[in-house]
Amino acid sequence: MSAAFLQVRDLDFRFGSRRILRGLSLTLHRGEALALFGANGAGKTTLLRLLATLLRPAAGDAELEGVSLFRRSERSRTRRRIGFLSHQSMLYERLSARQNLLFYARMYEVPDPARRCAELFRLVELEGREDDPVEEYSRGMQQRLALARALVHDPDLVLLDEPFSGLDPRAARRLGELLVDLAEKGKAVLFSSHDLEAGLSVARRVAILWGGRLAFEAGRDTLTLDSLARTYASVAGRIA
Amino acid sequence: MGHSALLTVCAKDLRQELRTRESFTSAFFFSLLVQVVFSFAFDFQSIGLGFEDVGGGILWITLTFSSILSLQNSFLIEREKNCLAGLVLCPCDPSAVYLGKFLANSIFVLAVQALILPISTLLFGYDLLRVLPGLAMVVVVNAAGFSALGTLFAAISVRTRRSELLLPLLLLPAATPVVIWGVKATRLCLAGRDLGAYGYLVALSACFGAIFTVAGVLLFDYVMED
Repeated sequence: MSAAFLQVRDLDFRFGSRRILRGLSLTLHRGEALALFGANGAGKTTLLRLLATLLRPAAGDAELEGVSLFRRSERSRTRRRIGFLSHQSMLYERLSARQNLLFYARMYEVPDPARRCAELFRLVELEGREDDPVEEYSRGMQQRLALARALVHDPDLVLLDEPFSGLDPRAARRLGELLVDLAEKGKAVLFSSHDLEAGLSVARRVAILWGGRLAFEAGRDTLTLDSLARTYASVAGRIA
Repeated sequence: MGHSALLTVCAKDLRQELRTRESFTSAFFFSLLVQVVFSFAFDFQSIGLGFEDVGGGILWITLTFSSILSLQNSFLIEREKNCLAGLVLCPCDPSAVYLGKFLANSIFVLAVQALILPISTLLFGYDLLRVLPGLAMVVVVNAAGFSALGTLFAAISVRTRRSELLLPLLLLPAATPVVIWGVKATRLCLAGRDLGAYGYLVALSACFGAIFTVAGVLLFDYVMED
């Protein structure tokens, strides 16, 4: 297999005296989608926020093609390669969807921002609603627009924190197809989810995070939904 | 790169304000209220004083407190839906975000003052046109200095739970010099003195603004870290 695109080594993160991540290591290759499962408080969001460069670890490192994500001098270059969809949409509710996307496109210096925004509106199926204020969007529409925002600069590493939440079944299926498509285009996709079925349908590899550690990791080919559910229950039982 | 991000942030803030008019409306009506209250409260003509004696104080009390309202809002809008994280993740120089915010804040403050000054003329019966160029210079320089400091402190306080309380507590003591220089320069200007009499005060305020603009440029990256 080719060299890892994202290499996470012994990552530790503390929030006050509480240790959220405990020496977590993982790798992610280009063209790979990795689903991250785990209970609330397992450290999934913290890991994604660290990899998005919103937080700094207490120890350990994460490298994107050999360049540390936490090196201040490289931060602008690495941030250009990362797209992050968080729990919160990072959208200005009083601006229209188009104004939001154009704002982020210009901040990322996307060439021809108007054309890129039109492409993304098509991709997330929000055509015809571009000029509506975001506050008039439903939760699912905001989630799709937030995804468009995360992809506006065509990032190489796509990080998504519970991307299926708030989506109706059709939109969730469409999102799944989109993530598979991104991985097929050579992007590295890392997403967290509580929905084992949706996660398994998209990912090439799955991992279970528990108590700040990677408790289980396996290829999609070796798992069924039942076996994953059993493994998840056993990890939860063993550690609890 | 920084140049285009600066203008993008400023244009976004102005666009958002034009859409909602939240900051402008609250700052304008607050300023108007202060002016009206002072016009009724002070019968300064009866003790032999003119607007040129008290106008500096009235204008700077109005400007200082109405500016805090718009400075606060400029970062509170970033806190909604965690847009602050969206800004932090942008690959531009963080100082461009600070300068964009500073520029937008200065424009808000000056837009409110541009409406309030003519109203003062009516309420206090003073011919501002006579001193307008000098007064405009004093207001622009001091308001920019105040906004430079205020933008930095608004960014510092926005992550705290009680940011509405913290911003005035941080800003008012630190901004005291620029407010005092503003009051003194305005008083001299309203009294019809020429630039030579208050030019040094404007220069001091410009230095204050420049120092805090440089501080904002240098510190904003650290301020924005979670």
